[in-house]
Amino acid sequence: MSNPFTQDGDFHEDTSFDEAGVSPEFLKLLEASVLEAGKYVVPSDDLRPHTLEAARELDTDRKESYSLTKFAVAFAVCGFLSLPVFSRMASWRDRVSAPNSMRMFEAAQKKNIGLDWGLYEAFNEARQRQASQFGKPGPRNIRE
Amino acid sequence: MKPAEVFSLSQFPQFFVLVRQIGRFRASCTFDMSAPPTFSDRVRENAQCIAESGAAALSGLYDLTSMRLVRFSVMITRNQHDAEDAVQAVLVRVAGNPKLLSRASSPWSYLLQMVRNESLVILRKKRRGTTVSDLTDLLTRRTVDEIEKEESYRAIWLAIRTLPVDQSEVVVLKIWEEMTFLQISEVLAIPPATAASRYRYAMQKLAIELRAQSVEVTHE
Repeated sequence: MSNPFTQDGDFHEDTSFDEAGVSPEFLKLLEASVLEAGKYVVPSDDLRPHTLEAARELDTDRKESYSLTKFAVAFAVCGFLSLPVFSRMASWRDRVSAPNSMRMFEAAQKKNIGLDWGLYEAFNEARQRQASQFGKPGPRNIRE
Repeated sequence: MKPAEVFSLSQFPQFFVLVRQIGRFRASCTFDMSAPPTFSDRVRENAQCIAESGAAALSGLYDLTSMRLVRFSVMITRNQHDAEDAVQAVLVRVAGNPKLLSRASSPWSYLLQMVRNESLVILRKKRRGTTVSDLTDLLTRRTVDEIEKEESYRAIWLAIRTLPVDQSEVVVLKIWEEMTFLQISEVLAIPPATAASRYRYAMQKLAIELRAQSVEVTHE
């Protein structure tokens, strides 16, 4: 049995149309008429703007969600990277911050030179301690 | 004003970058005129334009394919409104992911497959019968010199609509899309011989139907 298809995927003239009473000439005319009728139906006028608008909306939504995702990722990365910075800063806080009033009062009492001069000495020591931590010379003792 | 005041030397590199960018954009969105591109090539080039320029470039693909896609989908859904819904859904999906088309081996066949699948989904949702007795849902175009042929066109469309969907879609692809049976078999996922036999049965039925309606089959 011979291959009814040509190399380009189409098929040879088929005699089965004759069996149904359709001659090849009529078939060609019929195909031509159907081809001509193909232009009879057209898309509606509002299909084009609707389609373009829908595509534009989808594009905008996608860009917005993309921007939001980028912002969320950037925020998460910043948070992740700032964790060691915060822990480092917490260790520095004790060194940098001034002692509170309760500690100063306790330090003044330990001096046993009276509360006024005790506070003066305690503040003076605290200032010198901070200055040495910052690498600068502390304030001179007034009594020196 | 001296020319030196208008263009400073520091602006020249930016100017050349701009010119190069415009050149690239135009080169990507224009067709190569050296060899006539096939319809599938033109679909691919439009898809590439959408990939580069975004959804704003969808108008090119719409203008190129909408009429053919709607015509094909009408044969499946048997309703123009549903067909346009299917075509719109597919084109919007392509605008969202144009690489679907640009990477396909045959973009036009792939687009037809997408429309066919979407049309079948709509058809299943609507559960509408496949036979339609009139053409009231269709939006038709008549030019002045074709008024006398309108009866013939309507008879042909009615006759095609009396065919089963399996056969009418083969007729559409064979005659209106000028595809070979091999290409039709790829779009419809059937063997080429099946496509050929469906076409044969469809044309026999059309001939009988149009003869019964005494429609003048002419070719100019």
